[in-house]
Amino acid sequence: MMSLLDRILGRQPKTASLAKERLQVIIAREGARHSNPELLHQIKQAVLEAVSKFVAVRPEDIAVDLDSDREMEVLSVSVSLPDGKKLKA
Amino acid sequence: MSEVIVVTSGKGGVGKTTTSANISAGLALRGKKVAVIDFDVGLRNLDLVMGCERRVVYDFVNVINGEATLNQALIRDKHAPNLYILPASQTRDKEALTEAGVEKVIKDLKTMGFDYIVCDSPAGIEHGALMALTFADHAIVVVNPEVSSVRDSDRIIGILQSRSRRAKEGREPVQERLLITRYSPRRVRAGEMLSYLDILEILKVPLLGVIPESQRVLEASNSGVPAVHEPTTEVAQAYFDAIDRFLGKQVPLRFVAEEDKGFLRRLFDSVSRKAAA
Repeated sequence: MMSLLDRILGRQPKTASLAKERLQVIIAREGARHSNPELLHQIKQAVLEAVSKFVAVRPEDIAVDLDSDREMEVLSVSVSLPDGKKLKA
Repeated sequence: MSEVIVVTSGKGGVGKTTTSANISAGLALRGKKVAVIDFDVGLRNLDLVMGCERRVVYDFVNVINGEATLNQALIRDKHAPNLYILPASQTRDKEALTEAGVEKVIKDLKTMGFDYIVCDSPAGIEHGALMALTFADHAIVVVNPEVSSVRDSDRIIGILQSRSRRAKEGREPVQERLLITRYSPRRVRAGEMLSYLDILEILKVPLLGVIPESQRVLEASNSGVPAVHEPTTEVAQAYFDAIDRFLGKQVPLRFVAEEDKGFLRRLFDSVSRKAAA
């Protein structure tokens, strides 16, 4: 974006500001992180609470992972049930 | 208490090995006992940058495989006290760095009483880079004011936040800090280079330091003596500032602005540049 002042003075936009804009867009889109590390913890807590209504599980039985590559993000949640525990009917 | 520092970046050629050499030498000059490990299996280079390439007998993989003890493999640095280098292996087998093996070496270094264990990561996000960051307590993310380097730093920070032991075990996260290298205040002023403030705004990671672009860096690697050993140079001072910040001191940022020329001088320069164009 050229500022008004740049337009009036007929200046070209600087490449550094172009770089900044492009990076902000691509990094927001790739979202390799900014998804707040707390969030995964909160998801884990919510899963723990939900599953605990039906079967006794410990926090360490639940794994929550967020993997992302350039195209997509995969949220995987796995809950391992301790031996001998059965889901309450 | 030993602490593990990974020097990482994602992108290659931004100054990880230079930074590992200077940070570890600088910490040693500040009185710490330091071990620096080259994780770049197959492309050993830290030894060359630190000037001990002719004294390599055993390497990191020899130690992991039990072919040598840590004491046999660690090379005592000749320029700084209490600094030891564990060189990378030249093997082409990238899987030689097993997670259990790396864990044991780091644990043994801690037992030997090292204050800091600096892990010089290879470029990329493959096995070697993952091994270098797995056991980190601190991360120094080296970034150049250039689009591909900034984007790759963002990726590697994401990986630190998901793949490190600290993340996997739900402990306090790895403390990440940015070290911006090859910075040219003149080009920033001219609008040709991202400023350090731009980079901080994009990456949202605290700043450890800014190292100015300098011919000294090449000369230091030519001679195999890290730049911190020439304390009058800007590069050495910028690295020491970063080290002191790392050690908890408040140090103002230097070498990020062109010396202030004053308004009239700038106007004159700008007019004469336009006239020349």
